[in-house]
Amino acid sequence: MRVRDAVVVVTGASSGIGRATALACSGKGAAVVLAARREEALQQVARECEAAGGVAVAVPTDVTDADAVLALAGRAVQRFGRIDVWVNCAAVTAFAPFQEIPLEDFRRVLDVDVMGYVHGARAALPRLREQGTGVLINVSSIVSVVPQPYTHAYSMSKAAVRVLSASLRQELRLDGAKGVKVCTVMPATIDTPFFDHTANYTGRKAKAMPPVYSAERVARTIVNLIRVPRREVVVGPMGRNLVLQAKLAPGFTERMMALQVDKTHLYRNTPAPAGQGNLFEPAPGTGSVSGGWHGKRQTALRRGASLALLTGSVAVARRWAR
Amino acid sequence: MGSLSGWDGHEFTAAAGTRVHAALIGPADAPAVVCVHGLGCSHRYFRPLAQALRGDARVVALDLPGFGRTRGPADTLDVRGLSRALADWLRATARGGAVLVANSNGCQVAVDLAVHSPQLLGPLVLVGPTIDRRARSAAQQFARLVADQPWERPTLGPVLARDWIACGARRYVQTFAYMLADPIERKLRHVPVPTIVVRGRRDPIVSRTWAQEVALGLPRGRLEEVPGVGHTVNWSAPEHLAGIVRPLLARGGP
Repeated sequence: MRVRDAVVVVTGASSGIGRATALACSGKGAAVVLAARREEALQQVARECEAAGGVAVAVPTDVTDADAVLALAGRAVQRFGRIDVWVNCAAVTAFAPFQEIPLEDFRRVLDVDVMGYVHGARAALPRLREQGTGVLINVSSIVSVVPQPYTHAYSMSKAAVRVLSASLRQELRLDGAKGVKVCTVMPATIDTPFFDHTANYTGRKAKAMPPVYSAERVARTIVNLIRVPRREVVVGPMGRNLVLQAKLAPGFTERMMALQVDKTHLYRNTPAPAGQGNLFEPAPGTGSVSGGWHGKRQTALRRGASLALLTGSVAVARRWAR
Repeated sequence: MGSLSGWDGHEFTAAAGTRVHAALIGPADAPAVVCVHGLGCSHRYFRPLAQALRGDARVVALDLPGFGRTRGPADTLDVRGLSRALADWLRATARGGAVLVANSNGCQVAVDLAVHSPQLLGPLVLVGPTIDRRARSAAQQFARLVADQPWERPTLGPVLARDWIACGARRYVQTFAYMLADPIERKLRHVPVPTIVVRGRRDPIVSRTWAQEVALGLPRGRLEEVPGVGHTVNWSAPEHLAGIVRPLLARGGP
């Protein structure tokens, strides 16, 4: 589907991947409907979208409220006449040892990350099917396949979302709705404010586990998915490696990821007070795409290093061959 | 003034279950002229006419669902579907009663509008109304389309090629089948408004006999011929056509 003139609804558009996606779609001439809890941030994103060349409307929405999500779809149709693409992206997380996380918080993560997507899909699909064309994009994560300790609720949600997408694809196929596509995006670690927004009961501050990729990279993938829908797409080469590894050597990957998360997903020496993060109350301010984890710089550095390594090895190989 | 596309602006309206695009030229307070395109075409080939009318009218060239920049439903709309979409859009934009200029198969859509929503019709200009009931087959229509080519300006090709891509082969063929089956001659007597039938004198698609028949079938119709041009008068002789449209703006009738 062409992105120009398409009507794109994005949940979680106030920050991170959702915000980058809204901006990327606007840049291609789409009309975007922005949904998140924070009106202030949404208005800011709407202004940025219009500066990027699109039209945008902000609809403050809590995705855990099914009626509010239905109203969001209604608002999109009322304002722009149709819905071409629905991007489910609103998600929260909690870092905690299993016994320490309050059940209330655990439930809330599942509520936002699973039921939020369910509400989105239920609001969007009838409309897409009526039109006969449309794309539903569910942003999952590589943690739906690659196990990770301390974020049970989040990982469970992301696995659930991936399965939901597959299930919906099957159902649409059985119903003969050929023009309606459902895609799952599985990003690796992305440079977004997500790690500052997390609920945390580990006593250690959370950080983005390297390698970190930029949110714009995910947004580009989503734009490409709108153009040519695919079932599942992993964003980030290391993500692809890990997904493959989890399939080929599941036991080893499980043990390795346990150590990796313990070492690099939480600071060793930076304590963090126990808190609910943005689970129940959105973070203040106008939000941002990046979380200050230097996704773009890190990618550039990695590319530079790979290039240097490649050039070095070619030079060595040639000398050795002589 | 206009942007690169040659239009002053673009308008999107939530109507007919989609996001209807229309291109605009002219002052906002001037009387509106609504342009309805033919098979596989879009707002684009109305640009010369719109520019010719720039000073006197607000020209609004819409794209029907599935054509140009308006996305349509997956299933191709028939003539009634298109005319209902047009009616819905006219209501949503409060342009009922505006002068309506239709070309080719767009005329069938405009005439069908008279059957279910005559109150939305303003003075009507049918430019090359299709389909000649004596040539109601795909083969004959194709032969006539080929015969028309020497009488069209070469610049029309690239414009239409772009629209054909947007519309797609499947929608083109299916819409054509609907157009072919549409008995326009039986609906003409329902058109209550003053109507001018415009025919390019060299137009092989719309024969003179057929154009006369259409004009006679309309309760308030008359025929005008434009010398030296073929089917797409709005592209080949925009100034002449503008001259025909202009009096309708002032008096609301010929």
